[in-house]
Amino acid sequence: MTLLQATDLTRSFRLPGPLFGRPRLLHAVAGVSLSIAAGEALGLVGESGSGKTTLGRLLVGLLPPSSGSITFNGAPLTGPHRLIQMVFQDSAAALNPRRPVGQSVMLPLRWNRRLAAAAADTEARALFARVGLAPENFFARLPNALSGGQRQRVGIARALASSPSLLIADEPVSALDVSVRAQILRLFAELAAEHALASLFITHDLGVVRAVTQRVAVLYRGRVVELGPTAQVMDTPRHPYTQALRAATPIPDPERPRLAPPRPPEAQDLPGCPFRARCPVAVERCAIAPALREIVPGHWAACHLAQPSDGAEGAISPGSRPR
Amino acid sequence: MTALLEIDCLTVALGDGTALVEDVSLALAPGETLGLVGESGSGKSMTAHAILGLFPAPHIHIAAGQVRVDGVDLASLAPEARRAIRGRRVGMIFQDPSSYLDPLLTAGRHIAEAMRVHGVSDRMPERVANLLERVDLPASAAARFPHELSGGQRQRVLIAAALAMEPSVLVADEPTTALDVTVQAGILDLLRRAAAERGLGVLLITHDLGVVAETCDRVAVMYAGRIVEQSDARSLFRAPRHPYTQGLLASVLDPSRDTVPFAMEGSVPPAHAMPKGCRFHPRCPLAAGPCFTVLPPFIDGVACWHADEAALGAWRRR
Amino acid sequence: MRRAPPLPLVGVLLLIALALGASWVSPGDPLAGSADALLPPGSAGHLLGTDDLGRDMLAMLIHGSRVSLAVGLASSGVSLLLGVLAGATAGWLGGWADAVVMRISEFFQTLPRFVLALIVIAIAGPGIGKVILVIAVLGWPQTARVVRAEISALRGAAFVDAARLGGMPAPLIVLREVLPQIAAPVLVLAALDVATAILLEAGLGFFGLGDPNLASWGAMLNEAQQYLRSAWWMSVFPGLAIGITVLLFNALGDRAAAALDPRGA
Repeated sequence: MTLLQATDLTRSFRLPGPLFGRPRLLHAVAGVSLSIAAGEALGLVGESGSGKTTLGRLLVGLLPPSSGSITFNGAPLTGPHRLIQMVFQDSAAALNPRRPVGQSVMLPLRWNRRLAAAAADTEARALFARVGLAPENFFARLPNALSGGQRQRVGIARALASSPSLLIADEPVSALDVSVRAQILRLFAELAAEHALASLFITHDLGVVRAVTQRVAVLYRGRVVELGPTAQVMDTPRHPYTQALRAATPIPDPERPRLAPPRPPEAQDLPGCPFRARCPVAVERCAIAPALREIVPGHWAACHLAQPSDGAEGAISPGSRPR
Repeated sequence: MTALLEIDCLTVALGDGTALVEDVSLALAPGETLGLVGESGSGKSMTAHAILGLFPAPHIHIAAGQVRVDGVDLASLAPEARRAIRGRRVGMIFQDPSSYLDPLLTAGRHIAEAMRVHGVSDRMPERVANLLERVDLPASAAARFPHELSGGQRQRVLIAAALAMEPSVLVADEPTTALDVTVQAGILDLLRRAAAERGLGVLLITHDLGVVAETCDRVAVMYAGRIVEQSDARSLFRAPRHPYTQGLLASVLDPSRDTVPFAMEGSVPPAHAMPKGCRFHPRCPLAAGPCFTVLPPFIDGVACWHADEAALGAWRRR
Repeated sequence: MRRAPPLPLVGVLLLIALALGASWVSPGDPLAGSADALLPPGSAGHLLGTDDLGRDMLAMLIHGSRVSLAVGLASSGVSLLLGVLAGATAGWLGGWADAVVMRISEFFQTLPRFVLALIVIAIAGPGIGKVILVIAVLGWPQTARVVRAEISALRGAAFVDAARLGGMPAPLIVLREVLPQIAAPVLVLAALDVATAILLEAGLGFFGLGDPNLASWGAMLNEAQQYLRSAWWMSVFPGLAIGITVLLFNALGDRAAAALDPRGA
């Protein structure tokens, strides 16, 4: 059952332009359609400038789209919704620095859930215990007295406090140390199963995506360039950008053949396919922007050259071009 | 062959004597890339600061040990001579290139300044052009200001400036942490080439084991201010011997395999509250006997009382 | 480490206590004249001397602190309220609301404050309430601009987003989540505002536009003009009182800024 459906979402920002004349527009999200099924974990992968954070803010209702629509549970989404909650990247910035963290978790209980003070307090303490923080030790502390991992646990408790059905997590572990990262990811997985939560995991880290999501959308310059089952997209990426991303991601294996680094991004895009300027296999046809099409059942890519046979022809599929 | 850089029993402490780095010994050979890996609070960056004698706060100091560059003990030098070694013998690059670039200087001027402070002033445009070429930037980049360059390009400019005086050692402190992976791959490739082609010794400080695997010949793993394991990269990744190294490796999320994230419980202890005995014992599945009371000595590349047992896989029983 | 109670705070509290307890502390009625005119300081029964009408200088100074503090605190309070309201509206809403509020505040900032206060009081007639109001209306834009800058920066903060997702209504988010964050710069400004207002009030009094029924430091200076050479104490003591009070509030503002700075230890 589709929980959330985004159709042709666009969001532009006005850039400081010249003193006279038309202001320049930045299309942070340019025509994205996505759906999230109930209970599903969808990954949203992209590098800086891909628009992944903007897309996350659109889907959680914090930012209105320039055009396009979002429906949630069959009804149009017009702003923040109790059932869609968010876990933020910077756990310190996401907590009011002057408020004990227990109060930050009580806030949605008081407002979204309309609980009385005493009931909210009891419930918030139970949530602390559930995310692995002893309430008697942590409830009254200020955010800066907690470690990054502990603050992120508070952030998760706060998101759960609204009893959401969809959790949007924007780079929830990228600021954390490797060993703490794993603890938080396990907590996410446990909670999602316990509460039948759907989740959207926004990240730049392919390892995180593989570990916690079933489906993944790869974002490049505000567009979805590839979409499909996570293992399939990681193992046989169809879009040259996903292939470059996959090849560039360091793997803890010194014996893996070292690959040629992908071309760096260009300052100016060429018309047509957004990846054209960096693409190692671009052809004349790429001057016309390719639409997302289903290459094999359930696996979509926005590339003219993508073929149903394993991997795109001649492109840098992982391991195919040792130096 | 003598080592380019030798660190001998280095201890870095706060004003009140709290040790941030304790008893660290490292050596770097020509053409070698040594990875110094650890989580935050491990003391890896503080070790890098000690090499250059530059500390982020005035009361942090070298309490014991030696840092030798080309066989010369830095502590024996006058401040003037030590400054000359920085840049001339030891180049350095950092995580955030923007904060080391003057926004009002073009990339070319920045690189030229790096040479001028060491007394080089002739054939400047030619030298700058050569350096830019070495870091795969077009000659036109010389005229660009930092805000006109991407993050990766800025890091390349800093590498060019760091290599300008042909140093024998490059200390790279999290040089790609702030960059996208597709950009990171290019920077790591550049560092590999500089080591291979010029015999540069690179000390790469990072938290990312993937980056280490891609770049380093040897690896030292730090935990809570001390080195817990050191060996060549292949053996370390194939057969890690310290329980912490094993846990760290198991925590890495590999996009090429389906894995359940492995979680080492707990976190790195703060410098002022170090546990007695082995500093890893509160998180270690093998902790028993001497682990609680006596620091394990660093023998044969590993500091663990139960190294033999650990070699079989410390976390298997969980 | 907590330092000893800051001197400026102690000074300001003492001053307030003095003003509140003026009737008990003061050696006599400040407005009661006597035949002992122009006695120098140290004269029997008149520690700081008397003025041209034989009024006790000390009594006048003590009672004058009431006017100065009342005007200073009240007008800074009113301008704080106006400034926070205008600044929060502009900063939170942005867009045209922001533009309108900021243009109005710029208009007020271009007006020469003292001259305008002088003209308004000259037309409307003297009275402490009017003085407070005029100073407050002229003083709010500075606070408004600071509040607006801080709020528009905090509007996009993640913890504000989190409060929105938590279902808290926007006005309450501003009031409970955002405004407490900017208490430091605003309180500092308020302390400085008090000092400015005291100076303005003294200036009005000096030009004879103070409340004639109240002893005020400005009015004392006004009368002292004719006796600058013959009775130095008539000008020096009120001058010192104004100077010290203004300095105390300025110092209090500075200390508050340092103490409330979250980056400080």
